[in-house]
Amino acid sequence: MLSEEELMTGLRNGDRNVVKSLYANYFPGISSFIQKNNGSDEDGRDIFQETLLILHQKIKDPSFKLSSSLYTYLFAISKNLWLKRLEKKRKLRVTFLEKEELMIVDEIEGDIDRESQYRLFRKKFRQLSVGCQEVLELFFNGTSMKEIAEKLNLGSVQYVKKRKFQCKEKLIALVRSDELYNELL
Amino acid sequence: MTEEKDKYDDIEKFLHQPGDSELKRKFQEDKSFAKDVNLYKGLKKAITDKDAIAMEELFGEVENELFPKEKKVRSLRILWMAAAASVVLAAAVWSLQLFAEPSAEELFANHFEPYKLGFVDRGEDNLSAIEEANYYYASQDFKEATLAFEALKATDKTNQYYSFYLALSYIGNSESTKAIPLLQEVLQSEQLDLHDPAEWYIAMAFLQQGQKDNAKKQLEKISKKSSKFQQLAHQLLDEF
Repeated sequence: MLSEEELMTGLRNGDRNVVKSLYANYFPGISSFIQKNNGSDEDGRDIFQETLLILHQKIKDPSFKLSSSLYTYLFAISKNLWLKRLEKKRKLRVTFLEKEELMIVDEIEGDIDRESQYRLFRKKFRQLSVGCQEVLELFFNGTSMKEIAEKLNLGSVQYVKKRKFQCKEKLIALVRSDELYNELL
Repeated sequence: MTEEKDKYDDIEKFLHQPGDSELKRKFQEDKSFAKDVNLYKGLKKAITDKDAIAMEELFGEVENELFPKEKKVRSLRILWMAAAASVVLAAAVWSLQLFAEPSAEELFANHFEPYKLGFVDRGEDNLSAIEEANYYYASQDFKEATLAFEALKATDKTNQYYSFYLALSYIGNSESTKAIPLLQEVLQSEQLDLHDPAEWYIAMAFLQQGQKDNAKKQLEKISKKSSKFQQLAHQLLDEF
């Protein structure tokens, strides 16, 4: 059985076995909470992934210290994320954050919203055609139009520009049409 | 479109040259521009965050390994589409009995079916550009199929399959004016297996544009040649 410190160090390093332990130890409880509160199995998976991602971002900061047990910390984030979604869907809130959970969430509310937004952006990005993903990924990573045209065998720089514009338009439309984006603004 | 393009250019310029006083003022005074800049910045950060992307992939893999999901059966969707198509066809036949002289658009709606393509299921892995285009075409998402085949055609202008399926995607997207020159290009090529279907879809494109006379001439031409479209052309001409 790994200690909480070992779990966090392992998560920071992207250790597969540690991620497995985190899933094995914490996912069933959190997923069960979500399913008992108007959620589905899919919602449980989605919320847990987002929670782990938020924790992963937090623990990159060397000064980060857990203010509670790891389970309470993860549960507070998951619960907060799920309650927000229920609010968005105008579904009945059957539970509220406890005092300790509220303190955890208050401290990192900004990080939660930011990570949720980035995750939403990546989800929408993955909904684009593979061709669009390739063009935008190269472009946002600073690759020149000429290099993109050569790497992706797209012919001319002019065509890359056109394609880049179309892909951006599509991505921004996908993001803007998502209720969660407007919620997070 | 030009306005949008300029907006992106300004955003990129603002992000790369934060000292530009004009854009700095625009950012401070124009709330809509500031909102667009922040969205753009967020998108860039999210897409280029390799660490977060790798973690998301890892979480997904571990989750599937420890708690596998029931596999969704895509064929249900296909069956649903087939059932829906049957209902549309039945309704179409019924309407034809009511109206003696259907319009070109009605004839098009009753007879247009995208040319068959091997169905490509979309798995978890990245697919090649061809599979991607095929997927959208087979899913009848002609807007995306158009973009995908345009991209493919740009990589190989001589590939007549790209031209052919791009033309059909245009028709599916109600842009048959763009389809006809492409189909004529296919007819001029040495891709003989595509000649008969290209002729048939030129007729379909004329119908979509409401050019009943041109469609009729084209169908008469098809009806005189032995091909799998000959019978279809006869049937369609009977309805004129």
